This record gives sequence, C-alpha cells and structure tokens, in this order.
Amino acid sequence: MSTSRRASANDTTAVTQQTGPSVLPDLGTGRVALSIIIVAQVIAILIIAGYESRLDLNTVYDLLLVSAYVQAIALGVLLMLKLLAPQFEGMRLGKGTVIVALLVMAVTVAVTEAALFGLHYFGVTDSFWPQWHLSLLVRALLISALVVPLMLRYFSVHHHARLEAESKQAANLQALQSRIRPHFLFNSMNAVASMLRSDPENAEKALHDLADVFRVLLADARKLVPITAETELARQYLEVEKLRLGDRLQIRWLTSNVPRHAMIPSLTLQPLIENAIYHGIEPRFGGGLIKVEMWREAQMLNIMVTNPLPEVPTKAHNKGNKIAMDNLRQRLESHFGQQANLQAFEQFGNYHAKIKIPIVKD
Amino acid sequence: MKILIVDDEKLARARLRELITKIGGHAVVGEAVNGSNAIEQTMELKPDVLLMDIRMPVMDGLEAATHLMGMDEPPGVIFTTAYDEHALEAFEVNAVDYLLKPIRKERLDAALKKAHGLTLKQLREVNRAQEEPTARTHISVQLRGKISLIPIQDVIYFMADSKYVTVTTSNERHLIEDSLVSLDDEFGERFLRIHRNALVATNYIRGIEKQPSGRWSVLLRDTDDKLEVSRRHTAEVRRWARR
Repeated sequence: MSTSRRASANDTTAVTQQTGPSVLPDLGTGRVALSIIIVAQVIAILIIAGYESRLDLNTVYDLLLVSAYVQAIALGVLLMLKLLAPQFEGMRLGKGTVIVALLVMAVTVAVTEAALFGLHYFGVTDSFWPQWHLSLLVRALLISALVVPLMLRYFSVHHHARLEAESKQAANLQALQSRIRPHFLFNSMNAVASMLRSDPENAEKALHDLADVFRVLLADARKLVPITAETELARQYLEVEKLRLGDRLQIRWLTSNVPRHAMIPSLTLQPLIENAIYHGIEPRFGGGLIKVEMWREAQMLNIMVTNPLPEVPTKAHNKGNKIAMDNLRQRLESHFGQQANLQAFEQFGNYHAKIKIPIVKD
Repeated sequence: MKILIVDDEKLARARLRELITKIGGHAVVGEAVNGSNAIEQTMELKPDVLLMDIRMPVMDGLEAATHLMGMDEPPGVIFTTAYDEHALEAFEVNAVDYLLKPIRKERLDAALKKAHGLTLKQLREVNRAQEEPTARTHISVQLRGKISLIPIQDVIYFMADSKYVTVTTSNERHLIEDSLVSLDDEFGERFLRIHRNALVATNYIRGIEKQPSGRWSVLLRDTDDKLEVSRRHTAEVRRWARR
C-alpha cells in the first residue's frame, strides 16, 4: 500500500534556505544594478558637496564631470558583476567582500587610467601623467574600498530578510496544512454530496459537524481549551469519518479520573486521532479499532491514541505524519516547556501516540 | 458502456452510481472495494471503463491499473481522487483521465465520453513523478490471458535463467515479465541478492549452509529448495546471516 506516496501530497516542501546569513547573495540582479548606479550618483554628489565652496555654473560643470567618472566606474563594476556573479554566489560573506572589493578597485584603476588616457588623447590635459594622477587614484580607491563592504552588507541583509519572510510564510502554510488534510475535507464533502438526496437529515448533521471541526481547525491553535471541548471536537470529527468509513472504523473511549475542568491546548487529541485513521484504519482492508485513553497520574494528564498497523508494511513515518506530530510537539512545548511530552511507539502490531501534560485548571 | 466502480468508501461508490444513473446510457456492472478486488471483478465482468479511487487499502488504484495493463484487452481507467497534488500533476502531464471529488455530473459525463485505455508507459511516468515511488504490493502473473496476483509477502524468491524470470511461493511457480534488475530496484528492501540470477526474500531465509563443494547455500522456510550463493555474493550473504 502506498501510504507514503499519498501522504506526501499533503505537505508543502519547506523553503530550503540554500543561503545562510553569512553568504553572498546573487549580485547579478537588476535590483543590485540599480542600487549601484544610485549609490554611484550619490557618491558623485557628495564629492562635489564636500569639495566646492561656491555654488555657480562651475559647480554644475564639476558635478557632470565627476558623475561621468563615477558612473563609468559603476558601469565597469556592473559589467564585471554580470560576468562574474555566478562565481560569487554562495561564497562566504567575508571572503566574498574582500574579493569583490579588490575587483571593484581593479575596475576603478582601469577606468581611471582609461579616463586619463582619453583626456590626454583629446588634448584636455597636457600630460598623461599629471601631478594629481596619484592622488586621484588613491582617493578613488579609498572610496571604492569603503563603499563596497557597506553595499554588500546591505544587499546581504536585504536578501536574507526576504528569504526569511518567504520561509516564515511557508512554515505557516505548512502548519495550517498539517492541521487540515485536504484529503479529509474533499472526501467528506463527497460523502455528504452522496447523502443529500438519500439521507438529507444525516447529510445536514454531517455538514454541521464538518463546519464545527473546520471552525476549530482554522482558529488559533495556540490557546488552551477545556478538555471537554477538545473531546467534543474529536467526537464530531469521528462522526464525519464514520460516515465515510462505516464499520471499518471502530472507536473505544477509556477515561479514568480526568478532571472535567482541566485545560489542554486546542487540537491536541484530534490530530492524533486523524493520524490514527489515516495511517492505521484507512490502509487496512477491514479497518480496525482506535482506542482513545485518557487518565490522570498525580498532577499529569495522559492521553494515548492507539491504532492497528497496516497489514502491508508501509513506510509508516512519512512526512505527512511527521509534520503533524512535529507541529503538535512544538505547541506542547510552547505551552508547557519540558513538562510535556509526546511519544510515539509501536508495540504488538499497534501504533501508540502518547501525550503527557501537566493538569492546568481554568 | 459497462462501468466498474472502485472505491473503498461506500458513500463514494453510491454517489458515482447515482450520477451514472442520472447521466443515463451506461450500466454499472459492479463495485469493487480495493485494487485487487477491482482486478478480480474486471476479469469476471469485463467492464469497458473503471472509475477508480487512488488511495485504497490492500492495493491502491495506480497499482491495480498497472496490473490491468497486462490483460489482452485492458479496460479504460478514469481515476477519482479527493486530493493528491503529485498524482494530479503527473496525470495532467501524461494525459491520464481523472476526476476530483466531490464529483460533478457534467465532469463525469465528459470523462466517460472520452474515456480511453491507459498505456503502461503513462503509468510508469505517473509513478516516476511520485515523490516517494513505492513498491507494488503484488506481483502479477498472466495465465491464459487472465491476471493472477501474488502478494509480495508470499514470494520466497525470484530466479532468472537465460530468458525468463520465475517467481516462487510456497505452492506455486510462475513466469513473470519483470526483469531481475527492476525487481531488485523495486523490492530491494525485502530481498537479498544471493547470486547474479537470484533474489531471495529475507524473511524466508532459515539459514545458510556450507556445501561439500565449499560453496554456501541458502536454506528456506516453506520450501525444500536450496539456493546456491555465488562466490561474489558470499561475503554479503554471510554478513547478512550473522546479524
């Protein structure tokens, strides 16, 4: 039986974070190119703003000249990134910064030399090696060396903020999907559709149960609810499943000494029962018995759900199951820390899922 | 058209039956509750089309369809499913007919009108597209145009000679169409390769025994056959036996 094949359909694969926070992002994107051009222009304006004491036509002339020079360097850098970006991707941030900075400085030198050569060639300057040649180079290199790390830092932070937002979204979706198995939803609707004519009364009741179950599934799963509310939800859920599975689903409740007003996290019992049905009852030809046991032990509440294992061994611990269990485990931990635990084990052809939580009263 | 309905849920079967009656012009010749049941009924009732759920106990719909391809005149298959992201994508790509539950009358009507047979190639592609392709639960054997199913847990060993592969259980032996290599790929977890030409189910192995010739043999439960271990596989088999 291909339970694992089926179950995997319920999961969204987590957004795998290929790039940690200390890794260079992709530098070949349009967004990076635009940022470089803007920053280059800002540098040109700052140079003029910090240098000129007067404000006249000469200032504009100087600004144009400096802008042309800085933008030429920026274009050189863009060209260099376009060619080499694939090599940088995934490189450690520290190492990458040094390499990119050196390359940008090399571009700066090349553009500066080319500019000086051009100025001389067209007769603007008298000598190819004017007095201010060296000072220009040093200043240009200094600015490059200072700006590159800042920009890389910005790109990397920006990139990871976006990745994080995406993976958070995927995680939320995953949590929601682990609660609502589409398989259950659509099969139940199909069952209700088939009863509408023949048995409208029960169809209506099933719709109400389904609505109640989904109201809870869609609600905030972080709150505590009275244990009676949780068992009522499980009962309604089982009514719907019973409709589909008929006699294949047998259920036995065994409770002893459970305080009626104990509070437990919402959706503690229902996911365990759903797992038991999906992995234990549905794959079995004759179905089977699900046992729900709840008992008190000192100040702890125990809940155990038992289902028979499928006749044909499947890869039982597939992803769908794992996500639901991980989700529940996380919620238990956020409520009770180390005091709560969730165990799953196989014994004598049965699968047991057992929760232990401290008894909390309203 | 003669239709066979295959679904493990009674209400789902009832719904299909009701819709088919409403559409008219077709006859529901039977209902099956899982894949292997569907194969038996198909051979007996000779339906033109199967409306078959995917997720079912004992044998799922995809596997049943694969076995049915071995028939001389396989029926058309329309899969019905509640939700199965990966299978649906694969169906789209390979032009396999399917219906989503809850099933609408118009969709069912349209699907029945264009229902056509599947090919083994389509099914292989579908299976390949699954995230975790799973092994079949049965081996199918064709006997005089009929398909007989052998649960994989009954198989004691597969043996290849120059042309054919045979499957052996405690009371039967048959020729099958699969190759030993593909069987090893599919069922590798259950079987141990003891010779270039033999795969043995590990839970039928009783022990190993050294022959006067110096070679090792595998002793099996439920059969008196002794299978020779090739020199190349001796180390691996002995390692397995020591566990």
